[in-house]
Parts: sequence; structure tokens; C-alpha cells
Amino acid sequence: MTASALAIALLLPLATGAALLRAAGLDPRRDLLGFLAAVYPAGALLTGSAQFLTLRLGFHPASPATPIVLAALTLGLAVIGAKRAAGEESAWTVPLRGRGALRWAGEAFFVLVLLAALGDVVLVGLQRLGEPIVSGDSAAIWTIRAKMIFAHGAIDADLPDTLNEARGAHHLDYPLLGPLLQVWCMGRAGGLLEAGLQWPTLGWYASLVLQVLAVARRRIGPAAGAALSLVYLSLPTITVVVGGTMMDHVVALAFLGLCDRILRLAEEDGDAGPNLALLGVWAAVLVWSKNEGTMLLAAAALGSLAGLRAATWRRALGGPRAAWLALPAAVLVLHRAFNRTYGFDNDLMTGGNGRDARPLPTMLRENLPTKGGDILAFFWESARDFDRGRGLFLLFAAGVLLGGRPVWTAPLRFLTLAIGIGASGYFLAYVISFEDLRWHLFTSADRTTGQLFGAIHLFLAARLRRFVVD
Amino acid sequence: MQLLFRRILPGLFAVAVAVASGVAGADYLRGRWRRVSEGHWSRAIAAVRAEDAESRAWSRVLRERATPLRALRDLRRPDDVVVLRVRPGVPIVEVSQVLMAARTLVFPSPVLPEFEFRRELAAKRLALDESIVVLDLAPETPPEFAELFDRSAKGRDWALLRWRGEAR
Repeated sequence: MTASALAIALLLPLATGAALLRAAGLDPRRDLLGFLAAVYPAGALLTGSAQFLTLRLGFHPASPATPIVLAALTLGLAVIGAKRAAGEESAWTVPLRGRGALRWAGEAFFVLVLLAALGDVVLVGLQRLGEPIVSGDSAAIWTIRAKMIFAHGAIDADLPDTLNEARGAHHLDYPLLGPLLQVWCMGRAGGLLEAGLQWPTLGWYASLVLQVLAVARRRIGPAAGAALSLVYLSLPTITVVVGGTMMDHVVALAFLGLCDRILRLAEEDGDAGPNLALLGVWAAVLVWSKNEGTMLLAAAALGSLAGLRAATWRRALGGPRAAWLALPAAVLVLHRAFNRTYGFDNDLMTGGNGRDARPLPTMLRENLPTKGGDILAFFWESARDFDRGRGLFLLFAAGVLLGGRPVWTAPLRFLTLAIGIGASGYFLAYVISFEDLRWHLFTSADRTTGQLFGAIHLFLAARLRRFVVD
Repeated sequence: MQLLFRRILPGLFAVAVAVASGVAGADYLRGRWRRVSEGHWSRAIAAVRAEDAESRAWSRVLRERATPLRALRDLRRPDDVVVLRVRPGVPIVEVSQVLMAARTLVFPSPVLPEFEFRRELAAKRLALDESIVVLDLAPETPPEFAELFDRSAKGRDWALLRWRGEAR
């Protein structure tokens, strides 16, 4: 991949993302880290959408159609953003806590952790430069689908001739955002790529680092926020997942972002409009990243319904800004329509595409006694292994048991429920799994349940707020 | 009682988080310092500055994954018959990984289906005694190839296959 192709592949989505956020009313001067964390995800969402659109219209991915669409979109959004900014009065605000030397020591520690974490991203980038995706789910699920779509050159009636299991791809029903971003990279490079396909992964990784630090800093200040973030940033699963093209860390990031914005809406932290806009962006990324994302969106929705006051939603959803919720709905419809058109089924929900013909409720009822204990035992083993999960599940459990009334009172109750429902979802997914249970847990459980860690990090920060700030 | 639920228990929770942060943080910062002192950064920068960065990355992949796969790079030649030599004793999980890698790398050429046998073997992490897989990477793979592979794999830990007139 040439330097100019790489620059376009990376910079154009960033420009589009920044333009979308500005048009939605997000002001980097009020929340710089939160803004920066959302730039790539917002841009990737629009890049994936533009790539899908041009492929559907029959433009080859190597044609300039997608960059032109994106550039036009960026320009339009930038004009809207500029008009909006002209009517705003805003100045740089960096909330500082504490006094004198202690305050600056806290800021210095935060900057040190921020630089170290961004250094991880840069190092991964340097080490992976030019490395082909050759193994694991990255190769067999995410990259080969991208290659198949690129080789076919369009999303048309004949796509299944290329994109099919007989030719070696798996899980064709998985959401397309990851493969579409790789198609975007291949398009800029002008041909099938072995190297350079993991660049989108680095964009997600940088966003994850920024988002983790942003939500902690916002709630418990720079020093405590940086210290808490180190629990998440030191997770070994991060470096495993970001070494390829898998999307698990994108699910973790989007679920964290979504929960953060719901919490901020409920806490009336910032303007409702931009919060709702980002809620829509994060939810759309969540459902378009992996199938677990849809489950987690449902968990967040159920948690919101049961955990927040009705007045919160009435206040937040009033007016035209509620239209931002159409974003995840549109992505969900697009994803379902794509799978229905080409007959791609979720093997987990269909008993391995019919290998297990029992209806889902029967599967659940009959598998639960035989599998439930083993799954819980594996989860427990994983939770208490500090090297694997940094104790995050145990800290969440401690928060629920010891955290007192705030954990069960709105708005934090929403997050408690969303994480709890999400964890139950993973448990049930393994109960209905048609795969060999030990193999399935061994190869995926740490990675998938780790998708909750971002939200658990937010939960810890939100619950600790009283101790640090009061 | 109120003191217990309002102060002591939440306080214990805060202490637990602080301890986890301390341990994880010390581990994290120590690890990052080690990366600097052991030259990870300088090696990575040197590799990028080299003229043929992509080739170097390929070399590193081949070196790191030298076993069980010997001929990864050759897989890029789509019309070749490629022999993957798998060292005896290599866990089947790794062999499965190799086949996935092969399949992705050689795309759009068709390669053999391996997922049908993966589950039963991968779970056991069986060691291999004799393992040579021949992949025919010609543009059109005849259906007998898949049937042959399925038949060979059944009831055995691994299949010894040859192709295109070679003995099997």
C-alpha cells in the first residue's frame, strides 16, 4: 500500500467523522477526549455506509466513487458544522480538580498514562505494518469476506457465487462494517491486499484508548481516572484482539460509548442533542460490528427501560433530535435485509444451520441442565484469573454487592442492569451453542465476554465518583 | 446498619478497585518500560525504515510461524500445488490455523474445506504423527477433492493426501 493510498484510507474517514460530529453539535472545546474518541468510529460508520452504497450501485471498490461520495459528504457536513459553530459561544474548558501541585501532579499522571496508551497503539501499528492476516477468526471470518466482496466487485444478485461457505468463508451473516472497511482499504490500494488490512483496527484501538480515559477522567478526575483506566488498558485481550481484523474491541468500544451517552443524558451532563447524536452513532456502530452488538443494544435498551426514569427519556427524546435513533435502526434494517436477501443465517440461532433442529426454547430448556454448570465454572475460572480479566468481573460483582443504594438507583441502575443482562446473554448463547462446549468456550469466551469490560470500566468510574469528587 | 451499608461496604468496594488499579497499573507501566528497554520500539522503527518493509513483515511472519507452516509464501502463487509440511507433535489446533491462513491467503483460488473435521479434533488438541497436506490451488477444484478429504479425515486424526496423480 503506497503512502498516499494509506493516507486517503485513514485520513478521509477521520475528516468525515470530525465533520459529522461538528454537524451534530459536538464541541471539541468542551470535551476534547470524548470528541477525539468518537471521530474515527463516526467516520468509519459513514465510510462503511458509503462503501456499501457504491458497491450496491455497482461501482467497483477500486473506482473513485466511494472517496468522491465521502468527500462530498464531508463537505456538506462541514458546511452544516460551520453554520452551527457560527451561532455558538464556546471556549476551551478543561475541568481541573484539586489545588496547586496536587492538581498538576494528577494532570501529569493522566498525560503519562495517555501517552503510554497511545504509544501502545503506535507500536502495534509499527509492528503490524505490512503484516498479512493469516490466522484465526481474523483470516477465516473477517478478512476473507472482505476479499470475497472486493474480488466480486459489487453487491449484486451474483454475490453469493463468490461470498459463500464452500469457498472457505465462515459466518457470512456477521455484520459487514469490518469487511467493508477492509474493502475500502483495498479499494484505495487498487487491488487485493495481504498487508495493510489492519489499519482500520488501529483506528478503533486508538478510539478505545481515548474513550476509556475520557469516561474515567470525566467522572473521577485525571489522577483517579488514569489509575482506574490502567485496569482496562492492561488487559491482555486488547493486544490479542487488535493484532488482526476481528471486531471484538469495536463491540467493547461501542457499548462503552453507548452506555456513556445514555448515562450522560440521564445525568443531564452536556446538551441533550449532541449526546443523543453520539448515542445514535455508537448504537449504529455496535449493531454493525458483530452480532453480539445487537444483543448488547437490546441489553442497553432493556436496562434503560427498567433503570431510568420515564422523564429522562421524555426530556431527551423531545423534538427532532430523536431522529438520531433512526441511525442504528437503519443499520439494523440494512444488516437484516442483506442477510435475508442472500439467505445468510446465524448458525447459533439456527442450531448450526439446522444441524440441531430443535426450536430455540427447547434447546435452552434441554441444554441448560447439562451445560449451565460447565459454562458458569468456566466464567468463574476466567473471572478470578487476574492475568486474563484483571478482575473486572469480580470488581463489577463487588460493586453490585457492596456499592450500596446508588447502584440500584437511577441513573446508575441502568448500567447495572445493562451489564447484567448482557452477561446473561453470553451465558445463554453458550447454552444454545451447537459447538463442542469446551472448544467453544476455550476459543471465544474471554474475547466475547470481554466486550463488557468497557461498560464495567464505566460502571466503576460512575460508582467511584462519590468517593473521589465528594 | 446504615453505617455498614452507606460507608463501610462501599468503602471496601473502593479499596478493592484501588488495589486492582495499583496492581494492574504497576504491571502496565513496568511492561511499557520493558518494551522500551528491550528495544521493541527501536526494532519496530528500524523495520519500518527498511526499504522493503512489507517483505520484512512477511519474513517475520514466516519466522514466527515457521512451524507448522513451511511454505506460506508459496501459497500466494495461485496455480501451484503447495505442500504444507506439518511437524509431528504439532497440536491440531495449529494445523487448523494453518489451513485457515492458507485459505485466506490463496483466495480467490478454491481450497479444501476443513471446518467439518475441525471441531472434534481441535477440542482435543491431538498431536500428529504423520501429517502432510497437499492443497491443489488450481482455479477449479473438482468436487471429488472435498469428498476425498472428508472420507480421509473421518476416523483419523489427520489425513495424508496427495493430489494430481500422486499417490495418497
